Amino acid sequence: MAQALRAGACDLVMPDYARIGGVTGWIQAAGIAAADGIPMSSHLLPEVSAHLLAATPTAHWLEYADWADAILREPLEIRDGAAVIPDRPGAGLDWDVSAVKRLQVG
Amino acid sequence: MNAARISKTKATRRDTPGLTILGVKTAVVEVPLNFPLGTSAAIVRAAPLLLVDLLTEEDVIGRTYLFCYRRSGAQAVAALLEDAVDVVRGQQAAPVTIGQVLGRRFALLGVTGLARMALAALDGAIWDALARAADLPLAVFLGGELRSVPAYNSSGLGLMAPEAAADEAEVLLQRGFKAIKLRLGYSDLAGDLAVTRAVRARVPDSVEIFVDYNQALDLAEALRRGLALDRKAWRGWRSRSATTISPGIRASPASSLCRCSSARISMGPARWRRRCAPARATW
Repeated sequence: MAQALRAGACDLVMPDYARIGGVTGWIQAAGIAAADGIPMSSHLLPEVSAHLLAATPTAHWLEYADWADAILREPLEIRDGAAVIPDRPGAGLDWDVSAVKRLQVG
Repeated sequence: MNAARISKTKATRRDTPGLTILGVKTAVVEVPLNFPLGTSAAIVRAAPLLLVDLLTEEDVIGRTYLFCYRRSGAQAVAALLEDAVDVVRGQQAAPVTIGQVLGRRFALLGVTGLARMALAALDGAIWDALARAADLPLAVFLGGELRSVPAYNSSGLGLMAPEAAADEAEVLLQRGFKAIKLRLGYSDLAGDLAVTRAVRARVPDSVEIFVDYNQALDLAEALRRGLALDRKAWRGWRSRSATTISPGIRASPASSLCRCSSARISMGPARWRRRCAPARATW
């Protein structure tokens, strides 16, 4: 990402939690984006990404998809077009065990 | 500070429990999509997710999940994750240190692609466990605060006929979303323009529209379509424009599009590759 920014290859960045190195990688990337004043958005996993963007100095857009709603006891709440970060410990993920059993393939 | 106070402080710090990695449980699920996604390759009707529970000796569970694109991808990431946890079982749940240890151990395999996803899942699960142990939301644990995060709805709008895309766009704006994302990459530029125009005409002017080519284009076509969208699609609309270039474009061609387009270009989420694609545009 630093290389892309040095080359002037983009105006915005959109790392993926799973490709940038999890929370640690995200926070490091957020530092790079902040140093250059580049807006930073997320890619999928909105339940976790909402927390990460809340700790990102140049936070831009959360990419929301409802895919995990089917297996979560408390899906991410959207209110007036914005994700509401739940006041629960951690990322707030709690599996709907019966749904997981029903949809499990491996 | 008197000696007794110092002693108590030291004792408290020494007694503060860290977390110790014990094991991991995974499950692969395929969740049906409420809005099946048409892409240039296939219609995607279910999303394979890998669910992760990281177990610690202190009975705190760290939890995360990943979207793995294909069932085989989820199964492979699960196997790599279990291997990684075997390597660090019994170690303190310190994500930076664990990342360095596993980076060295997986170096010959290559910390990229699926292996990188597996290590990211472990890292995320460790952070989740630490935040849970501290009884804090992850955002707060990381130094942020609980707040609303502006979101765009990316749940649907795969490749489809223009009027169908406009219908779906209206549905996706429910719950107050102020932005949506179109997947583009129709067989020709005219298809991209037709869908974009149909959606733009249907939704309020205040709604921002992003476009995503999902790495479907080579460089020449990305430049052609990106610049054509720039000239033919959003020129004449009053709101601002922004395009996003997807992953893998190398610096100089990406810079070319960045310089030529009035849209804002964003680096996409996947790792760098030679293929490129204007990914998102906002009007």
